[in-house]
Amino acid sequence: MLPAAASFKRQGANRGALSAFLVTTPESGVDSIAITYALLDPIMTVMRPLAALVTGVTAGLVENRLHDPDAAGRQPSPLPLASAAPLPAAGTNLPAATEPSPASRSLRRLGEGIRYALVDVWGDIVVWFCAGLLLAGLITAYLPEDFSNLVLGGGLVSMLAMLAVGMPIYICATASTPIAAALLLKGASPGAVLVFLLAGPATNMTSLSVLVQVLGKMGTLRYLLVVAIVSVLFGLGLDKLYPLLGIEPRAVIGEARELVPVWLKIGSATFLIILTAWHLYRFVRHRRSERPAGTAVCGFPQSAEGADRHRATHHRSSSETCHDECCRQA
Amino acid sequence: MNDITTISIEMWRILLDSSPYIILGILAAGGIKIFVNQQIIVRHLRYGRYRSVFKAALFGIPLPL
Repeated sequence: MLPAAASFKRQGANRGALSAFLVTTPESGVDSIAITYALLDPIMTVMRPLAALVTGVTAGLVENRLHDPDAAGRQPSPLPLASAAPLPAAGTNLPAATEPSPASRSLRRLGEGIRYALVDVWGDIVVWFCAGLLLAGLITAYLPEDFSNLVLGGGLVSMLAMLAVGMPIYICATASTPIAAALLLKGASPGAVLVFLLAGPATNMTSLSVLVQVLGKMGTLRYLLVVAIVSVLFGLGLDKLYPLLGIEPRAVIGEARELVPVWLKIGSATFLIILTAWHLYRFVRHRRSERPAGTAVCGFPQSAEGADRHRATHHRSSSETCHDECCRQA
Repeated sequence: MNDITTISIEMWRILLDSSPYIILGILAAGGIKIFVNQQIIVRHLRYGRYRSVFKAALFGIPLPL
């Protein structure tokens, strides 16, 4: 997400558009929408992206109200337009016969898409998802029901409590969903849970430094305020919506499970476990063989096997700190 | 021991319920990656004080992470 935002900035996206993008991308995605439908209910499935949209648009409009990108002069784009899309080089005399057939090309692209899904997308989520799963289990076993009823049962205090938990920590949108389901079953109000689902992914301690670089100090403060205020408003509103529709949240949670046959559930769970084990193996091997301990020589080329394939680009960096630093500078 | 059983059963239950949808979700993310050219979208984010904000917010909704 953050490298993408950095590259948008480089290509001349204005600050408001960047803030909007920085809110909606972590708060919602196709993967988190799918898992919300599975573990929560259709109302939450709609509310999460909707609240993300409103938060993002608000943050962006506030930013562009204060810094009019048009009044600042239409700066020529830092990159010539032609370079924005990879065009086939003119004048290459490749005979048409050597071009891959459309069928094999689309097959290769399909392979790329699947590889991206299983390696990059799941690779980004997997650690958080395991943590989310464990936390959901712990909540189910240990969180006293009267506590969550009392503190998280609804009202402004519940929203603020969830904000206090959600804002400093990072948990990706997909991984926060099992935690949300566990909290709901323990009697937390849907609104309070929604606040957690919005504030958890949108803000955290480590992304702050990147936000400051992209938006500036005041811009970051405004971003945080907008996320906090809009999330709480949506939370309060959602708690009014359920009684209005005559729905008891706890009764409808996870109803989507009945849509999937058992063999498919066991099959896909097995597949995910194997995929996760592969990621773990890959991570351990990578750690042991390639990374010199404790050094961060930014931009120092590593061996080809040391290059990280991330979002279809190759990064050669000697450590994670260095990788993040490069992305930030880019 | 009893607690560990509760936790494990709950984790397994959540994994069973969610994994078909997770696989669907990440494959959809892969589909977006190959069918949507991000560069073209970035061009939309350059101009327009308000338009660019709406477009950027909408664009970010389906993107994973």
